Amino acid sequence: MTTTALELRDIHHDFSGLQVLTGVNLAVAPGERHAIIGPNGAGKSTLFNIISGRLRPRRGRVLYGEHDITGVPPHRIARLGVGRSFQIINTFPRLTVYQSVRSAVVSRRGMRLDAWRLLDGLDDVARETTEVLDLLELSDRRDTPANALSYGEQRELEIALTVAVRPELILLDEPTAGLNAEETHKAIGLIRRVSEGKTLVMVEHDMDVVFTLADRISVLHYGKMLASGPPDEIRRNAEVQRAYLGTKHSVAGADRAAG
Amino acid sequence: MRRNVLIAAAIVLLFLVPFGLDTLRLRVAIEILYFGLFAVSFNLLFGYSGMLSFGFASTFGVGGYAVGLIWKHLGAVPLPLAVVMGALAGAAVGLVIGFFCVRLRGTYFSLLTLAFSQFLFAVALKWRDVTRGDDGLTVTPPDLTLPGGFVLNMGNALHFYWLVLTIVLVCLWLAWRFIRTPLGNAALLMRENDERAAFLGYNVFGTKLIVFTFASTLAAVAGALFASFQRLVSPGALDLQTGTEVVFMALFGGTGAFLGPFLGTAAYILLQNWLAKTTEHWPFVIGFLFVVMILFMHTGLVGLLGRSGPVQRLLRLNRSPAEEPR
Amino acid sequence: MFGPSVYATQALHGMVYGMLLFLVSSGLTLVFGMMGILNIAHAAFYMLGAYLAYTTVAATGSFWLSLLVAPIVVGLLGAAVERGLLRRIHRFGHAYELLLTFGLFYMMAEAVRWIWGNYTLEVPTPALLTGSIPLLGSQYPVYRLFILAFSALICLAMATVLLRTRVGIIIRSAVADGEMVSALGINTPLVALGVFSVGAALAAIAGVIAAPFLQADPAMGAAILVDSFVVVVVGGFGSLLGALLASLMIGELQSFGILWFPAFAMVFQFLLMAAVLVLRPQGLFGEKG
Repeated sequence: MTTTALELRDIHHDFSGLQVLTGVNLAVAPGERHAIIGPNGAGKSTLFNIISGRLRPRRGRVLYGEHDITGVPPHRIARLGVGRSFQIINTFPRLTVYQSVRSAVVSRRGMRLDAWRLLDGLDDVARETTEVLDLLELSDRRDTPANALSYGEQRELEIALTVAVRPELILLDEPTAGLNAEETHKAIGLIRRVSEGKTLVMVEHDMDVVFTLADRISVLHYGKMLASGPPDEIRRNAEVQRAYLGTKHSVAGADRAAG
Repeated sequence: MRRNVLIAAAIVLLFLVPFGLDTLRLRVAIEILYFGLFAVSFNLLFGYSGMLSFGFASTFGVGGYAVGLIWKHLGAVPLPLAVVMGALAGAAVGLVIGFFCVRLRGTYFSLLTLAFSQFLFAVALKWRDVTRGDDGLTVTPPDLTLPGGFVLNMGNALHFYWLVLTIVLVCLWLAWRFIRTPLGNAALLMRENDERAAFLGYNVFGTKLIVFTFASTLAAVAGALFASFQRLVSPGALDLQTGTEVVFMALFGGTGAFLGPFLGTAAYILLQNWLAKTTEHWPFVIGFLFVVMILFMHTGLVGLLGRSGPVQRLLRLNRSPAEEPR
Repeated sequence: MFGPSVYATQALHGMVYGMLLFLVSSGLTLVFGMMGILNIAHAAFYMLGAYLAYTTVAATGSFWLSLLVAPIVVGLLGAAVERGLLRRIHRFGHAYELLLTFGLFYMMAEAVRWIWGNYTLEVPTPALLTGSIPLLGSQYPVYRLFILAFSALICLAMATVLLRTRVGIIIRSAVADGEMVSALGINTPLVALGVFSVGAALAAIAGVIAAPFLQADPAMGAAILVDSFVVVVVGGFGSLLGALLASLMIGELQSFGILWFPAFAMVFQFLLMAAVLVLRPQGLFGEKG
């Protein structure tokens, strides 16, 4: 009977009294690519942190399929098939690309606490890791430590880590933040590839990325969902235009410069 | 494989070492063996998992007291069995201490481990009925009859060396194996970025607790060997001084290589023995060298050896990229 | 089993030690709050203060001069440690900063033994403050009352600086959010340097005024080290008020612990620290964990 991959019901959150989310509702259908947009400070990252278990909302429920994941610790949510990336690069600085991605693959295979088998001898883990690296075109950097990668490559590694656990629900937090036009173009193709057949929810400032990729768009404005719908509808929505899109280019540009 | 030949040769050499040493030096070699194991287990926690414990002497001391009490109350339990029981005691204490400590990070973790070790120190000092307080508990390991009928005499430094070497090698092999398993890899993730690991599905608390307990177990083995060799265990075995020395030993050798701390222990003990003959203020020199190391030579002694060559191949049984800045 | 005057005297003892402890811990907790470094060498600064007092008094006969000399010397030493050593290894992370100060403490403790010998040195009580006066039903040494008054004075001065001056506001904001402050264009490295060396100087002052009371002893650093850790943890991350209350608490705890449970006095503060770390890691007055 489940028709939503992810559903948020009346989410409230505040930081020491400062209201950040005031009753957010959202429903994402399975297989949908859903973008959440909104000005800085609208609460997008907070919302992501609530979905992925980093924060527990003050009120409201987070439903993932038939699981109620409100306030469930991050590792349990991850094991249910939710993978997330981070706006600020959040990788394993001194591990190589291969070691990092392999750690995610090991986790997906449920071998996290295996204290007997030797990691280097696990051929299927190696194969799967290589597949992910190939998919993300990171193979030629496999032995480079994460902190020695270029910024664009670190972004790719962010996504690689996220998808290597083969999540059913992929959460990407500003996957193109700080990338130049060419890198952004590459990232769009990459995100399209890795989200094939999966549910994708992304927070994004770059309107080109949003309108190219998203099947549906939700606009978060000062703690509330202003609108939710297909791209064309959002583009035409008067309220959204007033609040946000009317100054589309300047807003997106300013955000990118600030982020 | 060439490395296996090297390892085998090194082990044979280690068993033959005593024939080239007088009793005094042999005693130093035995000291290096169990302190080396102690330092390697410390490094499982610090170098591999990023948890800097200032109270790592806790379980070292527990291992020592455990074997002392076993032989006092249960009679002539063979040494290997007593050591295993001591290890279990260390595991139990490590599990309890770890349960409280591993939730904390950074300096807070270090301080809480210190608090626990001071607490255990006070217990050892004051619970005189069991520990004999300041006087220390006499430890009397019984002679060990091997399956072939050969008797290892505990008063014989040569026999004791072989026994300690065997136990230490087994423990090192376990530790080395451990870090190459998925769980050992998870330990690295804890050091690098435990939060991200959680979003990949790793249970941070559980992983850290297991690593903490495992390291504590090995430390207890080292402590049990220490007590058996010294034939005495006193509160000093779990005080801050012991906890400090293991930090020095591990960092002198280099926390980025599996056997770095072992090398560091050898260097530390030899240096200390030599310095103590030269000046009564040897701790100053040790402290000075330590500060210089931290400032300029993060990689420790193993860093000096370079990255290739047979010694290197032996010591870097598993490279950990810990020597790089973040 | 004890009369009320014993309790009163014991409470005063506790306060005296508590205030000394606060002088040492205040610098420690501010540095911890601002820079995230728990400076283990801080306790050595305190010990150095006591020994410098001994030397100054031996050379010039003036206790009051040492109250000037020791903080200046140790303050400069603190500045050198921060600028010359700690900043170098900042990029390797807090564990290495902690290890560095750990090594420094070890080194300085032994240096003191080397220079002044491995025994207790007596520092005479300044003539002005010798003797006892009747207080709360028994005789109480004047000098200890001086310690109380003097450290209360410094405490007030510190509160004034922190609450009323621009520098104080910067320090408090840097404790709360260092990045924010440096984003505002304030030279945080300079503020850090200042706090570090003033903290060291305060520790030295504590050492000087402790000297006639506790004597200059090679073990005094290690003794106060652990107590000041407990204060920082119990009082809370970078909180001076917390440090003050925690210091007094530890002082009283020890004072009465020795009276009632002499065998276990030494574990009380560890149990307290462990309890706070387990139940409320941000400390009693800290806001962030």
